[in-house]
This record gives sequence, C-alpha cells and structure tokens, in this order.
Amino acid sequence: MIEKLEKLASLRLGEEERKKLLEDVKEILHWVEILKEVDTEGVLPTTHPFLSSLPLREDKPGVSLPDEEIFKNTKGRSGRFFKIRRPGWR
Amino acid sequence: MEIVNLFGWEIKEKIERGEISEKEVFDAFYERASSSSLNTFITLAEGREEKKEGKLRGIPFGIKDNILVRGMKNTCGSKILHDFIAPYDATCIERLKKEGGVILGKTNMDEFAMGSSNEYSAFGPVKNPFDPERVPGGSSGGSAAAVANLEVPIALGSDTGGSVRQPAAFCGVFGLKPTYGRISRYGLVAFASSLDQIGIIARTVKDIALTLEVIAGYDPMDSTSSPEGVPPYSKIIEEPCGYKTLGVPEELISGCDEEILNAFQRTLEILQRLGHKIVRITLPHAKYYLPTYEIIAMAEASSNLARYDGVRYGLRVEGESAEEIIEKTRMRGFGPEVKRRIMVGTYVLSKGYREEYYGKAQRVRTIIKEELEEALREVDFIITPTAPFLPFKLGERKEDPIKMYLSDVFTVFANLAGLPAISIPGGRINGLPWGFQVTGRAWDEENLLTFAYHLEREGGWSLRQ
Amino acid sequence: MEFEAVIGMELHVQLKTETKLFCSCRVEFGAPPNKNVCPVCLGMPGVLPVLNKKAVEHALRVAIALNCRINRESLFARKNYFYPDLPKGYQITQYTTPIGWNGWIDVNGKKIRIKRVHLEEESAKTVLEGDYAYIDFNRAGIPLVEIVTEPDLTSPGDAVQFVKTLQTLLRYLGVSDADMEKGQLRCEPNVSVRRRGEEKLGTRREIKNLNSIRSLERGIRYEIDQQIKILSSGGEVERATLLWDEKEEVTRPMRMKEEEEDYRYFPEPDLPPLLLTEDFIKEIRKTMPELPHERKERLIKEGLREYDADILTRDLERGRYYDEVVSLTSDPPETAKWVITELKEKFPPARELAWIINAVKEGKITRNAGKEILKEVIEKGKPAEEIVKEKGMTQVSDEEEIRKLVEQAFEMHPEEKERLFSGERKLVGFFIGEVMKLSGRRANPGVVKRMIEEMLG
Repeated sequence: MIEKLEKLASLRLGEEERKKLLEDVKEILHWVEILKEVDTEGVLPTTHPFLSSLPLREDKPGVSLPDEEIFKNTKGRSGRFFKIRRPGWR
Repeated sequence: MEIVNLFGWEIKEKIERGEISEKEVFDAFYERASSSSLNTFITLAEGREEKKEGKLRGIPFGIKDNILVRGMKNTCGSKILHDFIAPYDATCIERLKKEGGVILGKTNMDEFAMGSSNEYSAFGPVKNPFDPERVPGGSSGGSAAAVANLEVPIALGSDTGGSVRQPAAFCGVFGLKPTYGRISRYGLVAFASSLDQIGIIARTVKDIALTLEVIAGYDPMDSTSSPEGVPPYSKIIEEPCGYKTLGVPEELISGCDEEILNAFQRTLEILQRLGHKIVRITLPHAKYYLPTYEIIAMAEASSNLARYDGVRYGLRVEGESAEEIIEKTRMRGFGPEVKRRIMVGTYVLSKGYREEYYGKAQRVRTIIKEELEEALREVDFIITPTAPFLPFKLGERKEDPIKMYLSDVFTVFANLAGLPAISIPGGRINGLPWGFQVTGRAWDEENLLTFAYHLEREGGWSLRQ
Repeated sequence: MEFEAVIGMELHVQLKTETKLFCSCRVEFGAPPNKNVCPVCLGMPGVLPVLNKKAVEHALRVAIALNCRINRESLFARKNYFYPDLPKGYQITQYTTPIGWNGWIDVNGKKIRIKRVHLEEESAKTVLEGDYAYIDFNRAGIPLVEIVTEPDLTSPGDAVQFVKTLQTLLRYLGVSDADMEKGQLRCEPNVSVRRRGEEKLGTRREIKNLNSIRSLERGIRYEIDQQIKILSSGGEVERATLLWDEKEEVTRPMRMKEEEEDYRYFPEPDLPPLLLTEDFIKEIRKTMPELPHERKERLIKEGLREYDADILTRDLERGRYYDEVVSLTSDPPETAKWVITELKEKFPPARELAWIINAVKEGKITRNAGKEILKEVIEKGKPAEEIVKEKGMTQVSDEEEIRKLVEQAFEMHPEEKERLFSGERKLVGFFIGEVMKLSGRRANPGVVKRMIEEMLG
C-alpha cells in the first residue's frame, strides 16, 4: 500500500520513515473507521460550507507578474524558461 | 503604562492624539519581539512602512507565516519554503496596510498549519509564555504566544480545525475564527480549503472587532468569500448585549480533563449570575466530528500540497529526472506530520477507497452541519471549553498523532459547519491558562463579539494587567 | 475473417478568450516565454482561481451547438497528478457534472453521439532538449473545452470527417480557431476492433500526439491494422495508451493498463458550483451565430447550387464575404460565381466587387473587363469605378457604333465575310471576336452578335 501511496503523492520515503509512517497511516485509518456506523443513506455530500453561486470574472486582461518577480524563487532557470531534468516516461 | 502593555486601539488613539509616535510604538514592540526567548517569530520586518492614517494607524501586527506579505519570507514553518519570498500581499494584508496597520513580522507555526503544539515547525518549537517547558498550542502558536508575551498587540492566524482558538486558550488570550467566507483566503497558504479561515488573536475583544471590520468582506480574488455586509464591529460591541441562552453539549465535552471541566463549570455559574441562561443541548453525532474533520482536512491537504514540487519555487533537490527531483524534494522538504497527512489524504481519495472514506466524511459533514444549525436555532450560542486539556509538555504528544489530534476535539465542529467561534481566556489553573469557546450562528460575528466583549468587561476576564 | 473498427474521440479545444480560465493573464500567441504569468497560473502558495465568464459562455455555445443537455448546476473538480507542466499538482476540470452531456452532431448524414462537453485548464508548454525540459507557463491556464464522443465512428475517414465538421462548427461559433498545427485542436481517438456481427466491443487503445488531419487518419489506420493483425493471429489486444510517431508513422506504447493513473478526483473546494440561470442560457441561445448546416440550407434556399453552398459554408471567411456582397447585388448565383471562382486569398471591399458585378449585369462593362478591374482593385486598392473611368473601359452598346465596327471587320476579312454570307454560320463567332478586338474589348458581345445577325438578314 505504502509504495502505491508514495507514487501517487510523489513522495519518496526512507526505509525507517516508511515503517513508522505505515503504522501511523494504518492507525489513523483504523481510527476514522468509526464513521461507518453513521447512516448516510440519502444524505448529500457537503462540498462547500455554504451554498453560494460561483462569481464570474469579466474577460479583461489584468496585470501579470513583473519579470523580476517571476524567477525570484526559482532554483532551475534558463533564460526565460523554468528548467528541470527531462521527465522519463513512467 | 509601557507601550507594549497598550491594546491596539489604544495605540492608535494615542498616536492620533500625538502622545506617542509610530516609531516609538514600532521600536518598543520590535525590541520586545527580537529579544524574545519563545521563538515566536520566524522573520521580523526590516523596517516600518511609511506612516499612514487609518483605522489601524500605527498598530503593529504579527502575521502567521502562512499569510503572504509581499517582499517578506513566507515559510509556512516548512523547509520546502524556507527561502520563499512572497511575490504579493494577501488580501487581508493589503487591507491592513491600507488602514495604517504595520507588519512587525511573521510568526512561527506548525508546518503548513498541521499541528496543535507548534512542535512540527521546521524552525523549532514555540514556547508557552506561562511555562517555557510547555507548548503554546498550534498551529498559530507563534501568533498566540507573541500576543500573550506583549511582543505584538494583535496577530493574525489561520484556523482549519482550531488553530487560532486552541493556541489562544493555551496562551490565555482571545482568538476568533470568523464564519467561513468572512475573510478572503487569497494569500493564505491553503491547508484544507473548505475548512480554512483566517482568524484574529488579541488581548481584548475590541482589537479583534476593529481588525475584523477592516479585513472582512467580499474579495473578487476569492470565489468563496461572502458578499455579506460587514458592520462596524468595534462600535457595535459597545452596545448592550442582552441576556443570552447558551447551550452546553454534554456528549461532546464528556471526555474533557477533570480540572478543565471544573473550571468550565464555575464559568457557567458566573454566566448565570450575569443573567444568561445555560441549557443542555444534544449533539448525537459528536463523536464523529473529529474523524470526519481529519478525513476531509487530509484529503484536501494532499491536493493543496501537491504544488510544492521544486519546479517553480521553493526547495529543489536535484536528481536524474524530473520525477526523481519532485520525489526527493518532497521527501526532504516536508516534515513527518505533513507526510503523514499527505499519505492518509492520498489514500482516502484513491480509487476504490474514495467513497468509503472521503465520500462518507462529506456526507457525515452534512449531518453534522444540520445538527449544529438545528442546535443554534434553539440557543444563541454553543459553549464548550476550547481544549480538553491544559498546555502540555513539549514532546508529550509529538510522536502520537491521534493524541495530538484530540487537542481539536472541541474546535473542529465550527470549521465543519463554517460557524464563527471565539476562545475567551478563562483564567489560570495551576498557573496555566485555559479558555472556553463560544460558537455563534453563521455571519453573526456581531452578537458573538458583543457577548465576548461584555464578558471581558463584566465577567472579570479582562487581561489588563 | 471480417473485422470492423469502433472509434471514439476525445478532443481538446483551446478557447478564444482575452484572458486565461482562472486568472486575468493575457492569452497571446508568440509572446516571450513566461511573459503572461502571475501567482495564480504559476501555482504560487495562497492563490485561488476566479472563473472567466467568456470561457463559460464559449463552452455553453459549444454544448448548445452539439445539441447537448445542459447542467444547470455544474461543479469543478481537481484531477490530481504530478508533472512539471502542471503548476498546482492538479488540473481544475469538470468530472461528475460537465456543462453539457448527451448531445449529437450530424456528420455527412451520420449521427455521432456526444457524451460530454466540459471546461478545464490547459497545462504549460514543455520544450525537451537534451537532458532537460524547458517550461513556458504562458500556456498554463488557457481555457479548454473537452469534447468526448461515444464510439460511433467506424473508419479513419469517418474520424477525419468528424474532426473537419467540428472544426467548421467551432470557427462558426467563434469560440476557437481550432488549428491542429497550432495545437488549438487536439484529437485523441480510442480505437478498438471486433469481428463483424459481434456485439461486444474489443479492447480499446488511445492514440495521443496526432497533430494534423493527416496524422489522425494515418494513426487510426495504423492502429486498426495492428489490432486486426493481433486478433487474426489469435492474440489479444492489451489496453494501452499509445503515442503516434510522426516520422516513423508508427504508434508506440506510452503506458499499459496496469500503470493506469489514479487521478483522485474530488470537488474543487475553491470554486462554488457554477449555476447557469435560465436567463443566462437564454441569452447565449439568442446570440448563437448561424450554424454550418443552417447556413447551407439558407444558401440553397436563396438559389445557390448545392456545390457552391457547400463551399461557402466550409470556408467561413469566404462565406461571410459572400453574404456582404450579395446584400449589395441581390443576385445570389452570379455573386457566388464571382466569389468562388474569381477570388483567391485576398478579398477586396465588398462594395467594390458588388459594383463590378452590378456593372456587368447592367451591361456597363464586359465580364472580361470586370475580371481585369477586379484584379486591379485587389492589387492597387483603387475603387473599381475610378479604374473604369481612367481606362475608358465602359462597355459600348451603341448600335450605330457597333455596326461601324462590324463593317470594319468585314472589310478586313473579305474572304471570311464571303463564306459567312454564303451560309457558314459558325463564322459569326469569329467576327464577334474580331469586333471585340477592334473595340478594345469594350463592345457588348450580345449587341455585336445581334448586329451581325441583323446584317446577315
């Protein structure tokens, strides 16, 4: 299970870490199983705390980020591009 | 009286009357914050912005390090953002600045607001001002401790499951979580988007009211912010409060520590003496609040934290391929609690388990919401202790996630239902602060703050030393 | 053994808006890399999406044009996966409640069912070079509609016709330029093969990276052949996602079934449900442009031949130009002839072509003169009337004048005149030509013919 989660979450774990984390994850999943007792037949899910309608924005251009801000926090940069090692097909 | 002892609104009035200058105020708090031994701030401002008139003129603010202040570091208490400089102001910061508020610094916090003790910060734990061997609560522990320790008169925090109220209780100050959608979340680093709300911590309700009236209100940058009108809270709270009916949910608070329960009982008696009515209410699904909250919070968090991949900003650990870089960056950048939550959150959303866990929690959330709304038709407020136990020792709960999650057992319901709630300092037990929580109806911060303000003045809960 | 192919289609269409789907950064082609980016489309911490109204309107137009049912309440969802071109680690898309569903489109008389039409955001553009990827986020966040069909297509030709029909439709709606080469329209067919007469569908495989109509046609054909080969040799087709290699003209597997992604869809908490009110939908319906099939029907009704109507429907720019001209000539067949046969890429102002057509009809100038004038109008940008005056190209219809010219021609060619008058009627044409030459092509050929015949008695 944990290897699949690591892959989905793109989060590699060390050996020790993995063991402890797996235990914790199992414990938490076990702890929340209590919810199965609740009868939710015919109950709609809450996706947002309050019912409201989505406001729409007019299609008018605004201000983009100034050049000096774009790459300020970037570790890999080449000219005007963000640069990273090539992805290998997984 | 020393400057650092002043409330925020007093500072503003004194500046306006010319009794003190903005510089004196800033320097006094800066001096206190920079010499603090509590590890409250991750970053302190390099200088004061130009002085400006306004409702918050000259008042220094501590800002939790997950609310972006342009040009300042915004670490979220995480290694993955340890050097990230915010490229823009959060909407609430823009509004604070516009009314003359001054940013003193960015306060320490549990990594990505995940935690209840501040021990999960990559920048070291914050210490409780009442006992440095104990935790200040979390995740807005830096904000609460800084206010309690007079390092700043008012601080902003974020509250996903109690992260403003619980540390406020642990540090003996006031902490408000407004209604979901009351304050724009634009510029608040997301933990769980359907639960997150910016909150305010101060030593008087009046400062909270004043701050709220400045930063609340619809923001076109946040589609979940509400167009609901924002009244002038700082004036309204001075009006008579009237007698209120408060509901005590017995099932919910039954697991509380004895000493807290006793103190809470005495509080209820004082409230009755003041003329308020105390009634028992039933919340049949109380035991499901915490698990429901954790599933939703972790699921949303697993998605919200996916953007930290080292490609555009933040930490990058190099590797042979893009995939390897992303995996390694996240491995080194996130701490154990964050990883735990990401893993559980990923699991409850994954194929085959989504309905069983996440879908179920969303449906139970509907039941919980209705149950609370129903209760609030009967009573004006729901009252509980803010946390089930006193500030605990550093290290006591750190390794046991579920024990840590129990800190939020009384606070998560307000987030699940989007309700406004305030933690009021209840005094001391064995020299340690404790707090009680009053929860109101959605959008009714007005009555909630008025009630809290009257208690502060008449109930003997004032923090003026 | 007889096999038949079953093909479904998934299309991604870039919508033509000024700004991105969830932020107000400009959508602009040819901008320097990472010029049109902001905290929102770079997935910076703390940002939130705000939906573009125009994109919603465009998506709704597409759904209506494809005869879809419309979801009054439609929810956005997060599709979670990691890739360097995906700034937030998730794509905001629609999952359980697309804007439109259960529609259809007519492709050359065949009804192709449309499963869904939904809105989503585009990813960044990646340039691979050596060991590195260079990423440009200008493209990240451009609005897309995804259109998914039921597996109602049966051949590569079918698929091509479907895409062409859709391209025309999208251009009509003004929602996209739908240029495949520019990546504005991307097709991902899923192909399966079964023995004829069998009910059960075969295992389907998706083909990606088809960047032109030609690739689309070849990619599908190749994949059908592959699957038939596998099945006829007793093998089983494995589920897979394939990439089309344009140079080698083969497909290559991108991932197999066991590696299928788990996108962990869940409702986007940052966006409340999109509520499409009755009024909003009505307004969009009211402002729907004429659709291709409607246009073709109208043109035929106006008196055009089906062939001409078809051309003026497929080529929207020419079609719209025709509309303008015909409103000034009130002669559909004649106008269509000119617009279709006499114009290449450049169109002169409609009133100039209309002037020429009317002048020819009224006999002011000859048809040939008209063509020459048209050329000059396009090249020099001068009004037609001015050119006619300058060159004295006005047609001569005066009978006396033409009679003189005919006599002149008879004098020049006595032998042919002799033969004409002794009954060789086909020489009438010869003399018309001669008179035209003498007149500098200005004589009205009709009048010339009549005069010659009159003189023959």
